[in-house]
Amino acid sequence: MQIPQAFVGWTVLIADDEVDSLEVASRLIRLAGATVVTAKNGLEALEKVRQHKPHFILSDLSMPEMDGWELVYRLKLERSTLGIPVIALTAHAMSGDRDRAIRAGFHNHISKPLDPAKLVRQLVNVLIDVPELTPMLEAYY
Amino acid sequence: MESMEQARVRKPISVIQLIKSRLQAKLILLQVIVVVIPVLIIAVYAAAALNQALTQQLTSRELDKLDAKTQTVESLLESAEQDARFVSHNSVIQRYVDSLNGEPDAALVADVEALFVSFLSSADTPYKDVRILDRNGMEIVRVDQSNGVPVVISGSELEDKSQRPYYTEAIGLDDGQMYVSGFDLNVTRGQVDLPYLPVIRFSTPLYDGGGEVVGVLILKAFAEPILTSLLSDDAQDYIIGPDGTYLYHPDSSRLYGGLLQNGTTFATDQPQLEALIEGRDAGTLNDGDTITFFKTVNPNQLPNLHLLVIRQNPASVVLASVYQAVFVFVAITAVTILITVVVASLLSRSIARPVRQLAAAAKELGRGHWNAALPPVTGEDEIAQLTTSFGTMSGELQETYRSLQARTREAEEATRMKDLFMATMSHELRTPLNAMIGFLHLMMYSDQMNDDNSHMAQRSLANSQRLLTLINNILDLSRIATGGIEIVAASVSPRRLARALYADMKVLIEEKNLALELEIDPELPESIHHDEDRISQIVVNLVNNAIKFTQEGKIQLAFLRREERLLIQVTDTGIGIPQSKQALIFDDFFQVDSSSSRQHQGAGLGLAIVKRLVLLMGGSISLVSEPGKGSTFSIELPLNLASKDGSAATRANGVFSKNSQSAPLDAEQQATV
Repeated sequence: MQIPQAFVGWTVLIADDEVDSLEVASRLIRLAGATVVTAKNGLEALEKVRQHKPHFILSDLSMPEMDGWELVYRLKLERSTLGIPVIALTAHAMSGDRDRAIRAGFHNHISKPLDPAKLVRQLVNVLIDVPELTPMLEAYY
Repeated sequence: MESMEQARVRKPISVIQLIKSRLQAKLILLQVIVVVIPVLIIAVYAAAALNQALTQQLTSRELDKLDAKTQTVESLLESAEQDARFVSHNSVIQRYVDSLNGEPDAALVADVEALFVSFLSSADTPYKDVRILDRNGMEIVRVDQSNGVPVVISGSELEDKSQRPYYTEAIGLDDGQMYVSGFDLNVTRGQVDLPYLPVIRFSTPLYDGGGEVVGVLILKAFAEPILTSLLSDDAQDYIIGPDGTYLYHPDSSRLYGGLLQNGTTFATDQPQLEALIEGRDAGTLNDGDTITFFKTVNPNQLPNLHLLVIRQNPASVVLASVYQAVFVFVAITAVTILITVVVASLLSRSIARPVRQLAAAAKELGRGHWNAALPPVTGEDEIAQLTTSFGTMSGELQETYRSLQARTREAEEATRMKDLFMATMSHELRTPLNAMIGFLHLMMYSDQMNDDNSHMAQRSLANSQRLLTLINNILDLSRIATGGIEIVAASVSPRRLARALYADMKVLIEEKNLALELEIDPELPESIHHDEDRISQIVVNLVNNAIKFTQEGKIQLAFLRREERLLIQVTDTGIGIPQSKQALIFDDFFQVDSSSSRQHQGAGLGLAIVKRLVLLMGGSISLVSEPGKGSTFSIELPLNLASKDGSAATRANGVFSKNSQSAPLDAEQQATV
């Protein structure tokens, strides 16, 4: 089994308060070639976004200090960050969150729990329609 | 409630609607009908009867009055006749009569003239003249009353009256008999006296001592008093003589049509009235404007005195008393109706009001307001009983309702606690398992693993995933049963979904050396409104099931369109399901082979979840299978689910409790599965 090398040279920010989940996601995306920056909540994520300018952000919705909703709201307020696609991690039990997430400014969502075998492919599928990323992802779509 | 009543009052409604909608209005109407209709019938009948009675009374009163007047006339006529007889049998007259066979004795004539003068001066009844005619009808003695003074007429002024009826009729009579003329107008020397001077002549034959007729005595009476005594005090009178001419008429130009030959008769003057009276003796006519009373009178049965007396009064005057009586009656009736309506409305209000209040209270109760005001209980009538019973019933209902509410709250609380527990458990069980699975995956991606380690990692992963599936299934089943699962529809591309599922399942199938085929109906729309996760869950469960029971051959996955239904079929070439077990395979924890030596693992929850999810989405599931050859599971779902807003998101509890419309499989349906 191979992980597609879709994100070679990319910087990806992952925000999740659950340590194991954060580590698994980080490692998987690193295996796809990206440099991963992690954050334990929205506040930390906001700081690191400014610092690292990631290609995209993978964010949990419910986090302490600042949740994913507020994070995306703050990102959309700043010219320098509003173009960064943010992918929401949604729990199936909260199915209502998906539509809400799209309306709130998330680029798309991926269901939790993450399927390690599919995560990278899922990310490619939801990021392919971001114009700046499309040329880089076409080979893996 | 009050404001509602007022609102209803303010709204303009017709009388018919009012009567239809209000008990009180019905009661008033009933009572008014019961009273008003008989009163009106009686009033109409009474007015007619009263009118008739009053007319009859009027007729008889007029008849009585006229009878009295006729008697006066008769006594006047009789006294005139007696005067004539008295004069004719006077001794002076007798001597004169006896002398008439010889030469006239001048002295006797003078005596007669003196007698006549004294008679005219002293008689109770005023006479115009008194005369004696000889046997040939020639006047031989005559004394006239002129301006109240008796004047003897003699010589050339005496006239021949032999052609006059008072001579011709009287000359043939026996001694003592009397001829009475009709009403005549006095004529002096060929000229009718003006103003008209009506007279009646009484003539009787004069017999001498030898019993021979030698002359006629004539007494001419003024007829005015006789006519006048027939007149009424207050009415318009007409008196018509035997020849049909007016003897009395308020317009004097119409009088004595026959005598004056001016042609005016009753028949030509008032032909309609004449025609109505013709042939009748007496009666009363009413043409609405005028009341006409008429009567034929014939005083002393004198042939020349057949008189028709007519009296006319304006109907308004005569019937004023009738109208007054009718008016009084109508007034009494109106007052009666008014009183009835008032009493009826009060009475019906006292009946209808509690009923209305009861109706309002019942309505309030129906809305769940327990404190609706009940009418006060007075007396022991049916309404009071109804009110009491209603109060009792309402109290019991309230109590039942409250205890039910309490129980419902308890049940809801218990359910909530269970849901909370399930959610916690779900999270607490799955989080570590997901972490383990994630790390196992990462281990397998590591290039630092040797084959042996990789094998162990792979087995750990497979077992972890089995455990996760089992936990997921148990939790799903539980959440479906408690209504914790919600179907959420969104825009889905069926082709993309089918391909994604195919790609996912292909990996699993290839591990087992089976082939997987995908069929997508070209008729399927580009986009449907559906719950992608639930469709995935169903397909994954069915395909997993097929993989589990198929050792060789292929599995076919088909996404098809059947009109407005989405048909998903999973066909395998596996061991199949015996007919006898086909009805049971959707039950929880069911295994076709439940022996301890069974070779297939699994808790038997997959198909149960599939069935419940399908029903939850308003679909159906069926199975065609032959042992040894394979099985086909067919899922039919609505092509589009109802929109997510409002109640459209179907709650899972419907399947197992109240929502029988989603067609749960019963024993019979399962048999066809």
